[in-house]
Amino acid sequence: MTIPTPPTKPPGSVDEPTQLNSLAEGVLQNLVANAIDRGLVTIVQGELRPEQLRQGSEIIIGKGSGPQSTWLRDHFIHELLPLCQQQLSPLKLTSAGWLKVLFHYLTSSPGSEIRQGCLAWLRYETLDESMVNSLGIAPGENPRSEPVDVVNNACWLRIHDLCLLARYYRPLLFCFDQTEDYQTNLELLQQFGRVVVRLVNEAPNHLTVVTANQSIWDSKVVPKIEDAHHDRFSIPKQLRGLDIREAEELIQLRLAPFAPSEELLRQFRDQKWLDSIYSGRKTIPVREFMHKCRDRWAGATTPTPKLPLDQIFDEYLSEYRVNPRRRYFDPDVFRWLVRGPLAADPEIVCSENKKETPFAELQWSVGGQAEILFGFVREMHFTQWKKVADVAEAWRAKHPGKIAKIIYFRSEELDPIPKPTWTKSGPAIRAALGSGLLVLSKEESSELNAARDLYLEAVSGNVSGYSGEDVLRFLQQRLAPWRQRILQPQLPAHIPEQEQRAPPPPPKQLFLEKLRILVQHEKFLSLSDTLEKLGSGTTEDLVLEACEKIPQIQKIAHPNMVVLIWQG
Amino acid sequence: MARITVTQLKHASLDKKWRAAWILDPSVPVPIARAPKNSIRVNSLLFHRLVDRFSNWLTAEPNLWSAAKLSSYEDVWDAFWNNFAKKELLGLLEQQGPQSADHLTKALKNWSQELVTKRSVTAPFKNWRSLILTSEYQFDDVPVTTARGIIHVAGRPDCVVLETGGPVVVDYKLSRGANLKTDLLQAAEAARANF
Repeated sequence: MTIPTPPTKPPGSVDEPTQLNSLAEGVLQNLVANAIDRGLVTIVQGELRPEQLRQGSEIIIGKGSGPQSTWLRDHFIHELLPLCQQQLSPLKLTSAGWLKVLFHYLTSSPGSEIRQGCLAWLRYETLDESMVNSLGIAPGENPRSEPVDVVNNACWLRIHDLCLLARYYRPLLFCFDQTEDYQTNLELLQQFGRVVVRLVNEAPNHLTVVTANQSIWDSKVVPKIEDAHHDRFSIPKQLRGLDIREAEELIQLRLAPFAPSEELLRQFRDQKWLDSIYSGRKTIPVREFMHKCRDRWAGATTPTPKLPLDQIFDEYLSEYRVNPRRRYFDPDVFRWLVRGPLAADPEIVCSENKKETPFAELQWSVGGQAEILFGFVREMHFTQWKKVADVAEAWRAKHPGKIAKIIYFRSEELDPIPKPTWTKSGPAIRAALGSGLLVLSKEESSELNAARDLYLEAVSGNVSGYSGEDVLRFLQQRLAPWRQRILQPQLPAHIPEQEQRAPPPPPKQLFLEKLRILVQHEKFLSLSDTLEKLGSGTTEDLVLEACEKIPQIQKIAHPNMVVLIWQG
Repeated sequence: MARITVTQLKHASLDKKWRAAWILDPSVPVPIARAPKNSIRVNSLLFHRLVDRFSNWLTAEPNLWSAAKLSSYEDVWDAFWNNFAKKELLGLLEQQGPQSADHLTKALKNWSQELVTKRSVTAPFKNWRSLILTSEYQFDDVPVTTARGIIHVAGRPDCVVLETGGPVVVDYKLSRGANLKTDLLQAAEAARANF
């Protein structure tokens, strides 16, 4: 095999690699390195040493522009793949499609159909036939969508396979955050215990971390976890409070980047103040201490007054408006909304119903008025959408005189349903589901995701002055228009305008470069000024999407303004 | 003898009615109208402190040679941001939110732009001392000859720069209004008083 000589320095990319990128790149490079070590690949011209693949970052199979990267990319599927595949046989992976999927994920553009297909496969979601062909995986490797037990087990096996593959890169770290919410749902809590037990017992090459608010964990979560499950946890690492010396050190560390005036420094170094807050106790929890510092920074003699919840919610909302990734479809958000704040009406009875179709999970029965099914799927094969459409028709026929429909939330990054290519089944799917396909705008996605986030933070004790119950009551009011929207009569053959839109193309390299140079020069500028300087044709969404790909740009969101800051 | 402070001189330049009244009888006090306050804090003191520190840095002996190379707006703002403005503006962002921080950033950028423009017409420019004579310097009874006689100027102007026509006294004004850039330029231009 002939490897061209590399240039002195490969041009850099502004794309920030994801964790999955790193894992895929690491696994493939290590497998190729092993193949060279075993003499399965002989380099007859140029240079490609196993240590270059194992240690360096100069070769990037996914996007590298150097000759070695290009060569590996061009020869992977037909020549290198079998040599890598045979090394995996002792692992007994459930699926043989892993390496192809990881390779296509690496070499496709972020946001492209191929990359979305790879992600869907990893999540064990059914792919279109055309996608199965594009990825080059066997038809039997296409995930099934029912029955639900098979799907759940297959999802577990994906995780298990991923852990096995991690031996070719680095161990994985799984983190369960905001576990305080489990206290509100016994079934969820028990399932959480089972998942942790299974990970600990069966999955190699990983560490699972569970974070929790100590007092809630001890008083409300642990008592409900089965002993056998709880015994699988190691001894907890408790964050102890700060003593007065550590408090002083923290003040110093936190203030240093801001170079505050002498006057402010004097305020914080005031020993009397520190003595007063440590009076009668040796340590103070970090969060409580930070709140006290915040009040002192603001010059308040009394604790900061409680902010109204709608103001706090607006701050959460602004974070979601500027971070497209935080608005990506998360079925758990919608499950929680449908069971919780959206169903806050004495007329609405929410129950599980998986009898009609495996693609719907919950049902609202609203007196003699409405029977609504809810599904929370991200992607499905068109034949399955067709089945859902048939169920929707049957559901209507079963409840004459009532509003009867199936609701699917569709966030902005998902493909439109029906897809434009579904020429035969598309019209029937559209007619049957109609306005039941709730295509969410950026603002709507932000609102629903922020609602869930605010609630979880409140349950964890992070929303000063408000409990989870307080937030839930607030959201029941705030999200009331959604209840009305869901209970509206089905509009026949309704085609929401957004449904027709193609997903926005990812920002082009030239635009990324233009934005990078602008923010690098200006250092600090508002989003509106950025749009003005970049000229016509530039949208907020395009800029925010591009910022995701330039790690040096930090976005600071505020209800009235978004600023971009260069972190060079 | 009539007395006028730099602040009064600025208003005399900006406000025709105020100027006419003062010329008619300087002993009769005429109130100076101020723009209504809104929620955005302009942080005038911080602006003055930062500009003063950066001006001193540009003209300090050890920096003269390297600072003289800062000839474009990008170079000047880069040095200003990295050495002085960044920490303060990020602190302001934390304390008062993005609107105040953005407002002050714009003011500092406009100041940097204005400085570069002045540099481009300063001939010969050897280093920043060729342009910036002094900042935050106390004046007391400096005689200025006008068509109507001698005026003694007193006060603490923000800066004195040397332009082709001679030294120019500059006093910065931070607007709360939407036309920040225009206001700043207007104030800077109008507040000039050639000695």
